[in-house]
Amino acid sequence: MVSLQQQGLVVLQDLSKQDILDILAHAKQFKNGLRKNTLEGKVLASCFFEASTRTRLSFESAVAHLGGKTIGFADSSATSQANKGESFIDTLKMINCYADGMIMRHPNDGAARLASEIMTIPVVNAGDGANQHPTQTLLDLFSIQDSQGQLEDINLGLMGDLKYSRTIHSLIDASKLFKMRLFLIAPLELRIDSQNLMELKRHGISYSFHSSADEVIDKLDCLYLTRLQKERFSSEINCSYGIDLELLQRARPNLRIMHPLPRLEELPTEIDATPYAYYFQQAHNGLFIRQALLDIIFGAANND
Amino acid sequence: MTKKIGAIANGVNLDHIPQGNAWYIIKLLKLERKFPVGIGLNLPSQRMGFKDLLKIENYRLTPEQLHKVSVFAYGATYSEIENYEVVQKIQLTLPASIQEIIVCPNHRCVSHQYKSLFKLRSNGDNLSAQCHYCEHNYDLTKLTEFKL
Repeated sequence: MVSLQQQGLVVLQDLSKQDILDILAHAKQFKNGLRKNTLEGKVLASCFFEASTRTRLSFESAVAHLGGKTIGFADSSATSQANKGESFIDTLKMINCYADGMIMRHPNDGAARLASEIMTIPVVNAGDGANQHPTQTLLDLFSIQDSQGQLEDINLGLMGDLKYSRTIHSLIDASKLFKMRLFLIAPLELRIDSQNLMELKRHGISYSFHSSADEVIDKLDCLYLTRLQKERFSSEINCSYGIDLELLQRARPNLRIMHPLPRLEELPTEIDATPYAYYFQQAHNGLFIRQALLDIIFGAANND
Repeated sequence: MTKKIGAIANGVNLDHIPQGNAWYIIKLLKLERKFPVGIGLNLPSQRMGFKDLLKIENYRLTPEQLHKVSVFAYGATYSEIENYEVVQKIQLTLPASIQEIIVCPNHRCVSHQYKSLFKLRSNGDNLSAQCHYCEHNYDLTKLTEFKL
């Protein structure tokens, strides 16, 4: 994974299927208690031009677990870019001087690609606008694999905003590599768009449309729920879209419910105590995935 | 039909420009106030239905200009004229990529803070432009905002 070590991780498509499997296997080692000091003596810039709770904390925790230090900011309001009109490019060039690598969240689509071209240090994309959030997809794949024992031939239900959700689009993209069977559960207005649908057809992925989880709950291995981003659509859509305990009475015993969080009413807290709830473990898995990724990117010199 | 614009002694002809694109080329080459230019718009063409045409006197395009012009003049013929004779003829094809010219229609795209870069592809009649940064895909013939 030479490009990972030189460039960092910008988009998931930069990784081959084998690269992804290697990262997941390495994350499993961290989950099983592996401890490393790969980042000892290294400083990583954790630059969140847009606020985020889970992603920032899990990245910074991963750096700390690997013995490294972070500098940076949790939102852009305290930067010279926001207060003195410094350009994004100049900000990047400056960060490049102070750190061995950068973890960046940015509200603009493509910001991570631009940063990786401007900077000489590796850039890890922690979400660039509506474009990509590759470590979220990696941790989602890890969660499916870890909870089901495999990634191939999974019956995966995707429920909620299939039209706009970045998380869903990335997961659909990754499902092509692992021949998953997709159950697409969404209100009519939020169904997957035609471009993504054509891609699924092109890759020979089996899928079906459903208007409620009730129709398919007894077939699913994983049910991936997302929040309906109310700001994105008209008020006519039924916002009470979600699941409940009654629905889960017909679930397979191995069903695991996943959610990128934060959640709203689509995932009531009464589900938390059931064996199906996996979303907090999923968030925890984010730590192991980010440890694995940072170890691979920054560990090469130390491991040789 | 081409002859109606008038033959030029020295300069260049750009023929079979996709209909509607001549204005972009005039702006791109900043021809408005410099050289004598013959402009043909919406001319009937057997091959294309309608086409645009430009004849620019005492002018040559540099390779870099030709590269940029090809974004709007894909499939066009570029001819250099000396003493009413064609001395060089080039069939223009869509470049593989183009910097700065196309303004990404995605308002959230980071290219607005830097320089745009688009990958261009032709697949039969379909011409697509994909932003290098936000990765959005567009129909090139439907784009309307350019930095010229």
